[in-house]
Amino acid sequence: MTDNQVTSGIALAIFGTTLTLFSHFILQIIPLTALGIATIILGTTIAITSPHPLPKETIQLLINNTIQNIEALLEEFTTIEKAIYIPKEDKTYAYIPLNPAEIDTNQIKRAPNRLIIKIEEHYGLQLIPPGTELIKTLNLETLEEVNIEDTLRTILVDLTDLAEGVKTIFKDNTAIIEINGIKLEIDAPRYIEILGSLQASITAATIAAVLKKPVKILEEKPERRKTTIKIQILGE
Amino acid sequence: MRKEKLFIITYAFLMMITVPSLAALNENRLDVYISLFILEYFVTNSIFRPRYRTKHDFLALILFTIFLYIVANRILEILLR
Repeated sequence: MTDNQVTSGIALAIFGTTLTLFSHFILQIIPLTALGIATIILGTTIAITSPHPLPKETIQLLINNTIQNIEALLEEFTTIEKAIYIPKEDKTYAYIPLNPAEIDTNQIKRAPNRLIIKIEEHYGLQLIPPGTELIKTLNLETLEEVNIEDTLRTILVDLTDLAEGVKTIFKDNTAIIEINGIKLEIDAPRYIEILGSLQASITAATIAAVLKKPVKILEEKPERRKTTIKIQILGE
Repeated sequence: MRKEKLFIITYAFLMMITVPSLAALNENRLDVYISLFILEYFVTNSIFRPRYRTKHDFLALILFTIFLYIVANRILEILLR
């Protein structure tokens, strides 16, 4: 959007200049000249106005910092499976199993909110994925009916500006999410392998929070500025 | 809607009603149009307080200079009459 806005602003200013010169020197119509001047000012205003209240670079740096911290943490552990996004009373957590086992997600739900948790003989990491606090601000529990696609669009497009569009398809216990116009790609291979890309991670956490059910990213197909995520909805 | 978007929409709307309104009043002084555009810029700017990409709002500086020039011109015109 940023570059588009600059381009359209400049285009408008150029059009305004042409209109001003043409109507002033050739047509000699004052209101038309004024309209040309108005277009120049408007074009320049559009070009110099930031569409982001916080500079995009600042947001990207802040998000990247958070991701790099999780990435550094993941480097220290031998993880074997993808994360399970588990909605708890206060927020959604990402549970990463550290040894192979079939774990009852209800047991993880009841586990204390610690970094490393032990359920019977199984160990796992419990992290707070990015975007969790953002989901809380939407006060989803106060709404009678929540549309997942709308919620995802609000978070990924309107609030974080991480993508341009979201489409969802639900079939049985699987959700297929297509996120278009990806605006930020993170450089954290371990994070992406276990928790998914930043957009996928936020999507999974949101779906878990809306449905109040644990979810797991089955696969993610990143393409050019687009990603398709297959999410499995676990539990009853 | 973000205040930056609201600022642009409001400013565009104000400008686009200024031109036909003054034209309907048979106003043929270009400096009147420009002065109103500048005034509208500063009014919408102070209401919405948008953030700019540049550190300083150079457009405001240019518009203010033009406004000062127009006002000075008018004062001189009255004094020299």
